[in-house]
Amino acid sequence: MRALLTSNEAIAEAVRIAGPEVIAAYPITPQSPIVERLAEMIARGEMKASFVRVESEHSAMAVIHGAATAGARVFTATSSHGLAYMYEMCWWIAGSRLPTVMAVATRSIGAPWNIHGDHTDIVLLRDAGWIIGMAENAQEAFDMTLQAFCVSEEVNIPFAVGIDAFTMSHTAEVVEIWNPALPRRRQAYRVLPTDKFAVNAVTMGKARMKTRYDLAFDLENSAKVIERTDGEFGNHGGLVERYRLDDADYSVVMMGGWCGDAKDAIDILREEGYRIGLLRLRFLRPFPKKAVKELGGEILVVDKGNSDLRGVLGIEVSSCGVEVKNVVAGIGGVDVGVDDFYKIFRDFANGNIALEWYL
Amino acid sequence: VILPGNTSCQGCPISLAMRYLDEIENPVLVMPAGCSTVVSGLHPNSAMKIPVIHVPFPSTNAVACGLSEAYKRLGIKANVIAWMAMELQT
Repeated sequence: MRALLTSNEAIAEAVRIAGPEVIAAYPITPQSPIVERLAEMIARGEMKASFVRVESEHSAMAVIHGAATAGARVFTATSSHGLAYMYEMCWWIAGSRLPTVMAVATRSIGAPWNIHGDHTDIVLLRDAGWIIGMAENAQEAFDMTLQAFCVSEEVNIPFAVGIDAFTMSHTAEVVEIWNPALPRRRQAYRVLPTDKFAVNAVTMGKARMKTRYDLAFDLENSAKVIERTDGEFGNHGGLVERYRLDDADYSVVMMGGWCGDAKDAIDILREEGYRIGLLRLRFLRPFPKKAVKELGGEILVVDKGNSDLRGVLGIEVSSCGVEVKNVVAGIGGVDVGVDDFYKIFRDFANGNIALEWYL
Repeated sequence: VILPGNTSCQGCPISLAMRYLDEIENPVLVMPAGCSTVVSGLHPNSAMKIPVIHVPFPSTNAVACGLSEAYKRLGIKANVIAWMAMELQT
């Protein structure tokens, strides 16, 4: 069935099909329409999940943590300050190896107040031990959400599905809704009243370090599961999408919805004779190191989230042992369109870009 | 439900309070950070004969709520207990 859906609505449709038993969420712009739509579906009897209304995002993730510990398929969604507020529990649910799916409609974190889109929130999850995906459009948001349940429950690692604020979360596109039969919920362990063990007791010596290593190791290896299941969930390319890269002298690395505009700019530059292409990172964790190392020629990373003066993807791509130029743009929802990308990419190809902010 | 030889100090009321968990059927204990965390056992041991889920301090009630909702949905009889957190100093 084809339908006109925003990325928020597409994610809600995918969650309905995945059929979680427990959903807990606290409203925040621009994520709210996801859980509002899920609440409507539950009220209409279209899905059977228990929707737990909580007083904060910290409690939303804590409820999900408890429900997953009991063996329930779970879902939540958040943005920006909500993600920051639940950050402690994001570490706990990952450290506990509980399969979980969370949608993140990426939005700037204050101060000062800003409700618009950038990636400063979702990059927070990098060190917590989550799989972090970033979709480009509503179809991919739909497909990735379904894949998230499948992958998370196979590797016992929580999975965040990122979409850009407003340009995706509130922008309608045609989406093909299809109904895959997901495997039944599975997870490494669950806790029942008949059990006599303790989970996450105080550790000493190397026990904590061992769990941290195992999580990092399994997160790295989740790449194989993502690649293997990619064909079942829309064939989007696995960890990356390669756009006009095969003969490229100039490679641009980006993630998220604005890659659509970047592709249009690349098409224009191709017509002008520039051999330029785009490596779109579909995942920030596991990080697509292999695809980055395979890039030829000059590399430009365009970031929507920064650490210091450098962009976060700029740092990540640099860590793969390649030289990069890095532009930070679009923070706080500053509009960056085809014309802007055309100018940035052309300057890059002409050797006129270093590390800079597109202000 | 609390085993002898646990790590509580002499005269500690926590282990006394924990004995009352005997009264509860199908218990699942959610344990915030505090002295009770240590009394109930350090990894890889547990001093409790019931399941214990250790959690960060402010999440105790919400994790218990999530467990309870999930057990209901999954048709599992359970009484989830959000343990009180306390620090006792001598």
